[in-house]
Amino acid sequence: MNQEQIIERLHAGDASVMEDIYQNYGKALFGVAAGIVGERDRAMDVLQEALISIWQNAQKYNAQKGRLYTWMLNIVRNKAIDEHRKINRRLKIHTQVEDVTVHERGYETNIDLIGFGKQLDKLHPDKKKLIELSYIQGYSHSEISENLSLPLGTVKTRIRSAMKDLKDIFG
Amino acid sequence: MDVKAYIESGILEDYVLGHVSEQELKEVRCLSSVYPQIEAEIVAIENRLMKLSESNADDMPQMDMQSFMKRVETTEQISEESDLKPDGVSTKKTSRRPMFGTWQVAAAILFIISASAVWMVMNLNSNNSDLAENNQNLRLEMDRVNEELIEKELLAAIVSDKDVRKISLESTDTSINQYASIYWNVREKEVYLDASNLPDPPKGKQYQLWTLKDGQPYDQGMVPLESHGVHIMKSAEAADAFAITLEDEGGVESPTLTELKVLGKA
Repeated sequence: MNQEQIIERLHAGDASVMEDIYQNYGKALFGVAAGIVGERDRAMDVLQEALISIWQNAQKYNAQKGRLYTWMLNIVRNKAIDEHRKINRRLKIHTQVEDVTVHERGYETNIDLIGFGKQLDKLHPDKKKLIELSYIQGYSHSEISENLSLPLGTVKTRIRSAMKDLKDIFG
Repeated sequence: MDVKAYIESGILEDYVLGHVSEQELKEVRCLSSVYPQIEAEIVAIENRLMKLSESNADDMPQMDMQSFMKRVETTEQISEESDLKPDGVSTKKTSRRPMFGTWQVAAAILFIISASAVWMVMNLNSNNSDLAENNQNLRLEMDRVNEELIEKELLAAIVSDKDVRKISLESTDTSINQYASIYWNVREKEVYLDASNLPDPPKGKQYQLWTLKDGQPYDQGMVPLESHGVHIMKSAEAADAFAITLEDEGGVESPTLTELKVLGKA
């Protein structure tokens, strides 16, 4: 089933399309959620909540504004970030650690994307970091530039070059 | 247009990652609808990214599909307009009891202060509505400029291709200054039309593009009624000339020669 058919059914309010969305995109979206929250069962909960939110907000999706996958990815990321923050907050209270800094988007910098190692390790470490920040964590170019103190142009060039390397890995 | 160079520029990766500006977004959408290679590359990039995150999902737990679908079926979709509703800004008013007795003077002063405050707020409000109107006008102007820019970029991309020939269609009536331009990619057979220098068609009428080959006219499609900018028309394998006639809205099977407006040899 192609993207257009899925969008059409989503907009028509056909609930059964969610099964197809899960079949087509579930694994990829789960991978992103797991990359942020780490623990698998928790990532599954995130995915479920995100899928419900995708269904609920489907009428607001406009194909003119971007790909369906990109839109769903944002929803999954946001849910995963919320979940990650919740865990961090609990952890902070539990351990009474005073100096754990929770930045506005502080979940990202320390996050360990273990599962992605296998495939992403084939990339140069700099490029790996950029793919993590850009794709998994959803940072914009300018945010990455600020975060890593790299010129915007360098960020763009490296992301493009990393994406080319991904082409060699995944075809 | 050099599609390969466009694909290699990296903008499509940015698009799939969701990191493009509004203007770039329009450009990618527009070009991907014209060039199937661009659309195919977008799908390939998306698949690549999906494979990357799928590589992190080998031990994905099973989802209880039955209970999930039950939840979906009992969850209502939010309507598209719901965002446009006012966001519940509190309009609560504070009520004040008037002060009497020995406080009359103070009340009078308070009244003057309140009146000034009301006057200032009203003034601010009217400034605010002026600002909102200016803002709206600016936004409309920006949209218009953006659209023009995309048209120009699109045109520049089309004409930069070495296989694209420009054909000027001149008015058949030399006393009227109207003309159109055809950009014909002879390799890909694509036909683009810039009809922005034709007058707006009268109500119920529409311009229609034709190719002439060995004296036979072939329909190349209707010029959209909003005729500003560049339009992609039906592909043309071969042509001796291009012509535009003014026809009834929706078009005709063979051109009305008395309504021939512009013509150019290929």
